[in-house]
Amino acid sequence: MRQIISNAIDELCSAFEKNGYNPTPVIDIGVLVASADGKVDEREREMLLDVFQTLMDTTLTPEVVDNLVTASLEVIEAAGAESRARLVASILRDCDAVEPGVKVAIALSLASQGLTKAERTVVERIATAGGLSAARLAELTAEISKHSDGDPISVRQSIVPSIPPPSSSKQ
Amino acid sequence: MASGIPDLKVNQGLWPARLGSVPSVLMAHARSKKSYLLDPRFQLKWTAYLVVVVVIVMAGLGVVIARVAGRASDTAHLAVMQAEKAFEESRTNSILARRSVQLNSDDPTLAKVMEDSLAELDAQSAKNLADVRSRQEDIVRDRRNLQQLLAATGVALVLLLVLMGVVITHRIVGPVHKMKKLLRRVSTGRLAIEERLRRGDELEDLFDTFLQMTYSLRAMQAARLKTLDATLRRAEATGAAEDVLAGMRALRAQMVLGLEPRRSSVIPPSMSESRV
Repeated sequence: MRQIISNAIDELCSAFEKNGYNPTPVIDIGVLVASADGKVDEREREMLLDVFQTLMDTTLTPEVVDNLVTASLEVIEAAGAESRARLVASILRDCDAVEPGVKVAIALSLASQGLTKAERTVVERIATAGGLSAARLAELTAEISKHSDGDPISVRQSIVPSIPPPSSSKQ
Repeated sequence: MASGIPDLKVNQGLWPARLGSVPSVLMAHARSKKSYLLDPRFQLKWTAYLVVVVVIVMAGLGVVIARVAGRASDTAHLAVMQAEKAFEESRTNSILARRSVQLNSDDPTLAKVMEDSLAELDAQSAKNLADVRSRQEDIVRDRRNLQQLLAATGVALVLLLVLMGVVITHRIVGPVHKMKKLLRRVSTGRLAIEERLRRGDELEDLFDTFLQMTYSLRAMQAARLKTLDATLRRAEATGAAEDVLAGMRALRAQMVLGLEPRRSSVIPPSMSESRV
């Protein structure tokens, strides 16, 4: 699992950098997935903080990342989730990184409460707008889900190796 | 104080290692597909409009030309019929004249002169009829050739129009496609734009306005960054609280993101210093 997600994130960040984009669409992907059910709860916000700090490989304070998440949420509310998903998908297409982007979206979905119906809809929206076939999306979902033991924390640890184990995750 | 606030260029290379290989604009260009159908829906729609209009005009002209050619053909047919009738009448008259000469004249010389004249007249009538028939065949052949030429020209024109439509719309769609891509890039916060339109592309003014906008935004961002840097230096010099400094550095890292075309650094100054 860790290898799959790590490769996808590497590929995604590399594609963004190669094409001159900032990695902020990753924030949008995360927030789109986390807010799929209409709100970002504390657990999802924590997950986003962990993931973004790792993705951006920097010591951005939780407060700053929290502000980024809030800003992204406001943009999604203003633009509409579907429209924002299309934009993110277009950026992924620009960078030839639809598959890694969708993989990361699936992983982020699994890292909250498992792949819920609302989250699946968001992932499908990004995949469809990115030109990924339903069959390929099913393959990617199966591939990532196969390596997940169903525990969101373990998935989070695959994305963010440094996060503490479940017992001490809330600090 | 050399506060550890690095110059933007000095900070290059500190972008997370996971971001991978050194990018290249040239590589990106080489990788981009050379496709004239960048926006098939838009391009084919307007090309189809163009083709439909031209086909309607051509069909109208074709009908007019076909009618004129048809009339010419009918006239030729009528001329042939008249010529045949004239020929038959001429032959009948010749026969009657010969019989009249045979019955009324004993002069063989007159009979021979008369016979020669009638034979010449018959030959002339036959030649006239042959000429008229030949002209009719020419007209029919010309009409058929004209129809074939019109059909071939129509097909060639439609093909040429499709080609031209795609090429011409590409001149507009190309810059729009590029601008959409660059706008998406700007939407991620990256304000440094290196791309330019190709020579001969349309919408240069629009693209130039877009570039001016990014220059303005970059200038404003750079000015804010300088102000922040100066404040950060002062804060470091006056021993401000570490969490305040950390917040300012994080803010700086965010602002730097948009100003570098490649390998931006989001690493706060103190970290970059330690890494350098």
